[in-house]
Amino acid sequence: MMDELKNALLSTGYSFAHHAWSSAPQGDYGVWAEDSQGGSVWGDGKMLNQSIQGTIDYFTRDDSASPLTVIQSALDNAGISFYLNTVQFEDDTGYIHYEWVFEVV
Amino acid sequence: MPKITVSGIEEYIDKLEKLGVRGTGIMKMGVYDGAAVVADQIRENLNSVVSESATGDLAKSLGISEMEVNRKSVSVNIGFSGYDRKGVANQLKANVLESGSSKQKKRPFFRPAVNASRKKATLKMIETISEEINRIFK
Repeated sequence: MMDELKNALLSTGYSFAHHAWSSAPQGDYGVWAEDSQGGSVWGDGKMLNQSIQGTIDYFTRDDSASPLTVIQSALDNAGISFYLNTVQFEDDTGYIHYEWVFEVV
Repeated sequence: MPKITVSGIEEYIDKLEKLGVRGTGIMKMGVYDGAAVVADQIRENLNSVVSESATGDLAKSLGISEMEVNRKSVSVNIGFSGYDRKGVANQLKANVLESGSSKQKKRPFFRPAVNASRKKATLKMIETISEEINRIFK
């Protein structure tokens, strides 16, 4: 499912990297990273199912609703569970920072 | 879940009355103990993501709020309070660590801690509440 997340984000046409960019990107960009287990189902002494949680961050100077709509539509279309956690404006850089929490199985 | 064993309707009513009087207090104890488990995990995660030269002010500012009680629930908040020695709000520092910025890589510690401790906290609440109920019914 992590591949589906990657494909969904890349389908937006926006620039995304996994965990971190190797060099500081110019313009608008995004990062996705898994960071913890969301939940698990155990049976017969084995983990039968596990969900992975993480975040998607997108930094943009586009103050329209477009990035929000495009990224959320891509996640919706891929059947990925998510919620918009925070939207923050960085005074010093002018970036709007969208942060979503995703959970995939 | 906590269990109550009764042998007759009068005993049942008696136990419910006792529980009714003390029920909210028991729930408070359970919620507080559960919150402590979550707070401990948050503190542990925080200590693993801050630099070795960190002052420890942020970890010290982590706390559990006063209990909020309404007709449907008993709850607390876990979060950061106050300001560090440079006058920066601890909540802001925690937020930058958790969510990052275009200049600082994020180091999520809070949400993963809540995820990791959810089950343990639930079990702790059940344990505390069960113990208190049993103490009342002895």
